[in-house]
Amino acid sequence: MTDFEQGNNDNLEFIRAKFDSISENIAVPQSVNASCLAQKLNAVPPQLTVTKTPVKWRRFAGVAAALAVIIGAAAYVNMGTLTAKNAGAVPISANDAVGAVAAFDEASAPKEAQQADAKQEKARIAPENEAAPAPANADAVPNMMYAIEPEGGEGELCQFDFLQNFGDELVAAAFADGKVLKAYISETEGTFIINITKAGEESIRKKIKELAEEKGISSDWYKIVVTDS
Amino acid sequence: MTVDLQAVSMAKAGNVESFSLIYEQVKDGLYKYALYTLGNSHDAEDAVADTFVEAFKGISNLRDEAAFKSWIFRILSVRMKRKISDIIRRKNTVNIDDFLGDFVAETDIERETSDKVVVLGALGRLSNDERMIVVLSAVQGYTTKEIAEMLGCPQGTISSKLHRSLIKMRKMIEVG
Repeated sequence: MTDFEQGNNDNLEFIRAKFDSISENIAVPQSVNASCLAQKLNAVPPQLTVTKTPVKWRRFAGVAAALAVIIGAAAYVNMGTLTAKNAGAVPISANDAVGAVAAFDEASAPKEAQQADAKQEKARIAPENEAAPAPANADAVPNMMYAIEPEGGEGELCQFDFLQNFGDELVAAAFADGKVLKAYISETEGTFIINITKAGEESIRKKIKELAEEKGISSDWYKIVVTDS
Repeated sequence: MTVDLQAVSMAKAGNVESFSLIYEQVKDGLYKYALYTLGNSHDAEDAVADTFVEAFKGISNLRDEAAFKSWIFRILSVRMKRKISDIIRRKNTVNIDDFLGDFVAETDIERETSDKVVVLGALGRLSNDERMIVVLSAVQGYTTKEIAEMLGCPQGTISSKLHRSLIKMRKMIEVG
């Protein structure tokens, strides 16, 4: 044993002896008896860990909830896309245009409306055309009730629509002769305007009339304008 | 004093009677440790009562049944450290004379021999850590290794603190 340890032990024995002498009469109070303290145990709340959901299940529930939100959002966006597609098939015929409900009925959408949608042209109802006189053969010219206007407004060349609605033969023949200057739909008049030269007026009038009758198109729906050139 | 290991096993299974039995075997030591460390019987009783409840709640986690005594003293040590912090916060500063005065009044030490007053006065002039180490060593008889485990300090730190504290106390007692 070193001097340090010896000295330490001496001091410890000295202090211990002092404590022994003063600790004899220390009375332990009743309040720290087990019989008294055992009553406190009844007030101890039960361990919460028993009712806790395991961490792995809580993680699983969190991932499942996140997936549900993502799937729901995707379904919502998809639904919105379908609705937009349906809305793009809005019919432009007079009979169907009265209600938006008809937009969801593809069978009721006229062919002209689908074609216009395919070419991404803006279709709209021209109110002034609603008051236009009814054609002799309405079935033959269903879209005569509407002005199909390409970007640019009234008076623009509507060669494509003219060809579509009056027949390729008529205009092709006229243009081939070089006697048709231009053909377009007049939004204000609600008719097709065929602008021709004076040089070929007689022959072109005759040809157009023949073809129009052949196609069942009333003369009310087109107008021939002669331009001196 | 030895603790009934079979009773410790039953207490770990949640048996209140068994726990009460083993507690009774260490109760006196716990109370004296708390009384000497805290300096008044009120705080000592509270600390021991809290230790009783906390030990019952946590005894299922006790691995070594033979270490029950040092384990419950460790719980009390932690409790007392918190309590001492509360006392310091409450009083803002620790007045050793007041601290000792409470102790003397509570235990009627002043009517005992002057030797007791001197010993308790010397104890009261130690720091909190030093007081706990001296009581655990001199009153409870624990080794420095056991005290180090209870207080969560390196054994070397406990040895040096105990050495200095004993010298300090002895000088104060001898001077009177």
